[in-house]
Amino acid sequence: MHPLLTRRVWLGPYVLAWLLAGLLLAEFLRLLGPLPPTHAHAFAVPAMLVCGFVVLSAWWACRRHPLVSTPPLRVLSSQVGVALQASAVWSVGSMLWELVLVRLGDSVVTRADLLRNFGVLFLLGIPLYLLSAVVHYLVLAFEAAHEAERRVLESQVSTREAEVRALRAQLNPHFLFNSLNSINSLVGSDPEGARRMCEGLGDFLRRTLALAARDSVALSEELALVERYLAIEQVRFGERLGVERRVDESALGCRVPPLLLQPLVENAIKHGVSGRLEGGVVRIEARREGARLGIVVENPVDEDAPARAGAGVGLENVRRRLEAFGAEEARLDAVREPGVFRVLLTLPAREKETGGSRG
Amino acid sequence: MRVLIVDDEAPARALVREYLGAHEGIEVVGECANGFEAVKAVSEQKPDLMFLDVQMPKLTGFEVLELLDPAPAVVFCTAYDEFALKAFEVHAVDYLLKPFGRDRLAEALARV
Repeated sequence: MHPLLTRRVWLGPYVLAWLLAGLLLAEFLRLLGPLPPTHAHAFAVPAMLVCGFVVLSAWWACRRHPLVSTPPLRVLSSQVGVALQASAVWSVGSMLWELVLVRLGDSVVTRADLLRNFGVLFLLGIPLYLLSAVVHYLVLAFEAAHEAERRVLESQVSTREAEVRALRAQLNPHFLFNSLNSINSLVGSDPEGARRMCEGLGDFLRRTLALAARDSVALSEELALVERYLAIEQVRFGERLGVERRVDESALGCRVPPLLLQPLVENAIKHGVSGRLEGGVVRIEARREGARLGIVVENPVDEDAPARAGAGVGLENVRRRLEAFGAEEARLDAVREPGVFRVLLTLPAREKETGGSRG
Repeated sequence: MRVLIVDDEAPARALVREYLGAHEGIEVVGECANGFEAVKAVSEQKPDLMFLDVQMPKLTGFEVLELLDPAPAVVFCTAYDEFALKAFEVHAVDYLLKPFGRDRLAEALARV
C-alpha cells in the first residue's frame, strides 16, 4: 500500500497541490490556444488530479528497481519506459474525458485544440512521472537509512547485554583448582575441615550464581559472599592472609551491582598476599556518608613489585559495571601509595531495589 | 631418596608430605615456603628430588631452578597447566596438576 494512502495526513495537502496544478495547466492550455475558460478548468483540474494518482505508481516501480542493486542504465531505461506508458495511459484517458466534456458542454473545441491538448499532456506526463520517481527514490533511501540505523542500535544494545552477562559470570577457574587442592590436602590431616571447606565452596559458588543473576544486591549480601571467599582462601594461605573489616551499619542496606567486591578482594589477595613472601593484610571498608556510599579495598604491595597488566583489565571491568550502575555519581579510583594499593569505590547510596536515587 | 618439598601454601606441602609417608625409602629433608628458602635448603641438604610449586611469591619455581646448579630431579606441582611445555624444556621428571591424588604422585615417583 502506498504510504500516502496509509498515512492520510498527507493526502489532503497532496490532493490540494494537484488541484492547484490543474488550475495552472488550464491557464497554460489557454495560453496555447483559444479555449473557453470553463472548459479548460473542467478538463485540466480533474486531469491533473488523476495524474497525481497515476504518478504514485512510481512507488511500485521504484521498489522493483531499487537504486542500490540495479545497474543505473537499467534503472533509467525501466523508469523511462514506465513514464512513457503512464503518460500515455493518462493522456489518452484525459482526452476521453475531454471528449465527454465537449459532448456535454456547448463549448466549441476544435480538433486541433484536442490534438494539441493531447500532445501537451503526453509530454507533460513524462517529466511529471520521472519527478515522482525521483521523489520516491529519495523517500525509499531515507527509509532504508532509518532502518539501518535502527538495526545498528539494536545490535549495540544486544552486544552490551552480552557484555554485561559475561562480566557478571566472571569466575576464576584457577580459584576452583586451588580450592579443591586445599580440600584435598585437608582430607588426610583434618577431614572435618575438608568437609567444611567443601560446604563452603559449594555455598560460595551457589551464592555467586544467585547474585550474578540480579541487577543489584544489598551490600550485606555482597559482603557475605566475600566472607565465604575469604574463608576458603584462609585455608590456602593460613597466617599469610590477614583481613581487617570496617563496615558502617548504615551502609549494609545500600544497593550495589552484584559481584562488585569479590573480584577486588581476589585481586587484593593475589597481589598483596600470594605475591608477597610474608603475606599481608587485606582491608575492606564501607562507609556511608549521607547520600554517598564509599567502599575501600586495600592491600599491601612490595616496593619493587611492578604494576601488572592483568590487574588493569579486571579493574576496568569493575569500573564499567559501576558506572553502568550509578551513572555520573559512581566512580572507581585506584591509588598506589608507597607500600599500599587501594581501590576506592564511590556510588550513590540507594536502598530501594528499583533504581530510585533516594537513599 | 631424600626429598625437598617447596610450596608457598602450607596445606599443599602437608598434602605431599602425607602422600610421601606411604612410600618406603623416602625421607623428607625439608619444607620450604618460598624460592629463597628452597635455594638455601638445596645447597645445605642436597636432596635427590624436589616437589616444586610454580606460582610462588618473588621467585617462581622455574626461577628457582635457574639458580640451582646442580639441580635435583624436579616434579612440578601446580594448579596451572600452561607451564607444562616449559617443564619439558627444563627436563622435569613430571608435572602434577592440583588437585592430584596418591596414585598420581606414585606415578611421578616411579619416574625418578
